[in-house]
Amino acid sequence: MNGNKQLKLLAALLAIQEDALAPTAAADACDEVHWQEALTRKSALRGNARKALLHSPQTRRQFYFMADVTRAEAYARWKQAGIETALRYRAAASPTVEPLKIESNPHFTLILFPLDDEGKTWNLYLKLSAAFRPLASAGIRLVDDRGEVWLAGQPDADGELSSDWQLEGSPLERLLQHQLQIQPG
Amino acid sequence: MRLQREAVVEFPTAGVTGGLSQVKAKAYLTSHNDAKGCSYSNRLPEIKEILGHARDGEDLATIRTDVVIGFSDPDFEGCSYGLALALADKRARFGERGPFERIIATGVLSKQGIISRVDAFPKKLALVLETLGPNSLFLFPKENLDTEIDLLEKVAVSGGKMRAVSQFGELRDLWQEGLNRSEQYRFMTHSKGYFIKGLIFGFSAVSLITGVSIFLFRSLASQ
Repeated sequence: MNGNKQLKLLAALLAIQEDALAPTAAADACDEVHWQEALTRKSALRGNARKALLHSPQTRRQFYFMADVTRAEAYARWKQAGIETALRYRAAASPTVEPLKIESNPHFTLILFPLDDEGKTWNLYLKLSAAFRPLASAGIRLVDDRGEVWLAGQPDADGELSSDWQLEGSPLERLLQHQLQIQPG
Repeated sequence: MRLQREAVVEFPTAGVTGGLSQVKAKAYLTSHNDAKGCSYSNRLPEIKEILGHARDGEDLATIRTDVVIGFSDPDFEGCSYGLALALADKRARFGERGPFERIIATGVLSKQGIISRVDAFPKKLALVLETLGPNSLFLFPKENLDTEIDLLEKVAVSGGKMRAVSQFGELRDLWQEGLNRSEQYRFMTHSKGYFIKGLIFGFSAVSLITGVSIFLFRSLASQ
C-alpha cells in the first residue's frame, strides 16, 4: 500500500473516531505554542503532540481550528502587503502538447509540463517572486474556484514548488473553466 | 526539431524494500525558464542541489532548459541515486550517446562533480548482478572499487560493462554535450585561423597559376 492510500485510510478511520471511545484532553497553552510553531513550519510536531492528535477527536478539532486561524492570519498579511492571489488564464487551449507558462500574476508563475505525448499526465511547477517568498514560507496551496487543490506544500529556498497533476482530467481544460488562486497552506 | 526528450537511468536501493528503481528526466528543449520540476515536491531541494553539482561549468543557455524529474518508486533513502539522476538529466537535455540499452548507476554526487562511495555496496552490487546483461552498463564510485572484488568479477562475467568513476566529467562520452561558450570561442578562433590560412593559400595558388599562364601565353605569343 503506498503512502497516499495509507494516509487516506488513516483519515477515514480518524473521521469516524468517537469522543466517547477516545481519551480526551484539552490542549493547554504549551500545546498551542507548539502547534503554532508546527503550523508555521518553525518546528516539527513532537511525538506526544502527534499521539494526542491521533487519539483525541477534541484535540484534533482544536488543532484544525488553530490551523484555520493561522491561515487566515497569513492571508491577512498577504493582503496587507498588496499580494494579488488570483491567477488568470484566458487563452485557447493549444492543440500541441507542450509546456504552458502562465505569468499573469507578478507574484507567481505557473508552468504546466506535459509528461506524455497525449497530454494525459502533467507536472505542475510554481515559482514565487522574491517579494512573496518570505510571506509564503509556511506553506501555500494552489486551488481552483471549485476548491480543488492543484498543488500544496512548502516552497523551497528559491520559492519553488512542484508536483505531478493528481486530479481528474486535464489541467488545460480546467484552466479554461476555472480560475486559480493561491492560498496559505 | 524535437521539443521534448527523456532519458532513464536505473539505480539500486538497499534496505527492506530494496531493488532497482528508475529515475527519469524529461527535458523541454524549447522551454528555458531554469525550471526543475519533480513528481514529489519533498525531493525538489535535494534534486536541485545534485543537478547544480552536475551542471557546474555548463553554458547558461543549456542550464536554463526546463526539466521534470520522476522516479519509478519515490520511497527510498539516501543520496546514492545522485549519479543516476545527474546522468539522466544530461542525457535528456543533450541526447543519449553510446551503445548501451540500459544504464545502472550508483554514486553520491557532490561539489565539483566528485563521485563518492556509497553505503551497502555489496547488496546493491548483488541486485545489479541479478539483472545486468549484454548492452548494459553499470557505473559505480571508484572509492567502492577496493571492496567486493569477487562480486565485481561476477558482474564482469555477466556480459555487462562496468566503469568505476571518481569524477562526473569522466562520463562525457555518454551524452552528446555541445560545446560551452569558451569551447565555442576556442573552436571559432581555431576555425577562423584555418579559414584565413585557406584563403591565403587559395589566393596564392590562383595567383601563381594565373601568373604562370600569362607568362606561358606571352612566351608563346612572342614566338
